[in-house]
Amino acid sequence: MRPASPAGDPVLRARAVGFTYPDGSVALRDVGLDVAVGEAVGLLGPNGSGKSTLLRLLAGAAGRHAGSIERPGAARPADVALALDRPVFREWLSGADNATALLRLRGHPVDGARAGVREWIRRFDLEGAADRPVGTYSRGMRTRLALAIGFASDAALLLLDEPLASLDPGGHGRLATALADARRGGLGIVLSTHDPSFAAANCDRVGFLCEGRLVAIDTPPALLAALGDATRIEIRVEPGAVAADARDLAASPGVRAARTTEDRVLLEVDDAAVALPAALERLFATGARVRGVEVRPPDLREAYFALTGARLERHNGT
Amino acid sequence: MTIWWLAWRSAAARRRLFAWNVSVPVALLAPVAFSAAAAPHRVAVFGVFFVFFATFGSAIPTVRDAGDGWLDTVFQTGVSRSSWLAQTALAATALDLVQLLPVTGLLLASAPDASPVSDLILAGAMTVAFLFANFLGVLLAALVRSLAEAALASAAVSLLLLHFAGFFRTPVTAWTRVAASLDPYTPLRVALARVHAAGAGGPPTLLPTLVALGTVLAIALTARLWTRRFEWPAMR
Repeated sequence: MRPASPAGDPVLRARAVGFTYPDGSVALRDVGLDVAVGEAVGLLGPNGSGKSTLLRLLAGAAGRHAGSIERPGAARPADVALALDRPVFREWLSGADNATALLRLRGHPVDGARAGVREWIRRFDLEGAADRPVGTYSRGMRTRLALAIGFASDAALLLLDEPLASLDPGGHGRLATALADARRGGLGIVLSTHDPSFAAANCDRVGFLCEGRLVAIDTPPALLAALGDATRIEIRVEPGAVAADARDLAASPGVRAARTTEDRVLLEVDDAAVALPAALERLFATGARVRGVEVRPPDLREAYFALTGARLERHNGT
Repeated sequence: MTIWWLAWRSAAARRRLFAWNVSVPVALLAPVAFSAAAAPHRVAVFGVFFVFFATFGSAIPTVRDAGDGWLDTVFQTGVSRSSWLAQTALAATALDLVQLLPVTGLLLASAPDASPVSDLILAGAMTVAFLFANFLGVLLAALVRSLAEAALASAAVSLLLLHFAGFFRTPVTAWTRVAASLDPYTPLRVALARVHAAGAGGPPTLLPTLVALGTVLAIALTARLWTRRFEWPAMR
């Protein structure tokens, strides 16, 4: 596909990238992506959609791929930093030693590497554990260490593979702050995530990957524009207890459209104050047990569904 | 020198493993050193143990590091493959020498013909043999698909080279003499035989030493090509 081009100088330019694993499974098809200096691009897609493979290739992995990947703003391998969702460290060495070693391999001077990574270790709240062996870290702590190394690397392009997957809410906040600082500092960022809200709030543009294709890439407001302005009501119910038909719910007063899955009902409404009581009444009448209700504007999860016909989360729907 | 630093830092952090690597060779080889075993048999036992120690100790951690993604993480930093290999193998060689120092001391204490000169020759021969074995171990790790295969390949190749070096028989025929004169482990056999008074002499050791160092250099210079096996996506 033809990539939507950002305004600034490019740090990354990928064209028609395709990749097939040695076992013959096709992971990426015809992916085009530009990333500008100081821009953060989010990649959304369900498991197996090609996000991690794309990040590996953008990082310069040796696997043979179709198309071209140029890094005009990050020519040397050390100009690109990749933080994996399951980072690998020397288990018996401390977090600080691992970080220092990996930064020194990138060409950082010894003292600079130590000082730089200490600052980022502090920012990701690992200070108390920095001198402990990594083998004693939780998965979230390993992710925070990988992020600290990535941000301390002085790279021009930072690639983050599902950094939110094992972070607690405090970690989400620290990452958001770090991303904002890094963007102001001119770092180009590509991050994959399953969290549409985080992507919408922290990325300049968001791309939708579906079965190896980059189906859409644009700013969050532009992606949401296609969904209209209807308010969303999401009603979470006991799994398997949604007996109400989507058509019945859509007939409720004030409801434009309705969709049900195994454990939730999603309504598009004009006025939540009118539509919600009527919809709940119909649900209760069918014996459904309601666990929670959320009223919100349209989000990228729905935009993904609208543009790809597939869901970000893999579960059955009607 | 970061890879070198990592190797030593790791050895210092894994004290239990270090202690095993020192004590197991002593436990296994001390009875042989102080036994009444014939000198050629002692030479063979020490030679096989030393070469296996270095080759296995290089191949198996490399397969493990490639499998868990550590090598991919290291290569992503942009470090030169030749530099990585050289630092890894040199650090492993130095560690092997340190860990086998006690058992080598026992060997020399029990050897009838040990002298300062033969001790120095043995130290040099061990250094060359360990260097070659460590480079060979990493190369073998790139050719196999599992820890079991790494162990099998290390054993098979090492035994073949030890055989041609004359550890298991006296090279008498013309072609075995030629093989021994080129085999990287021949200097180790000659040096061990010298301290054990087990037929000192044998083929000249300069040529096989040069073959060993030349092979090491060739492995290092071509590292960029064959270390791709250690990267993502796993081709194993």
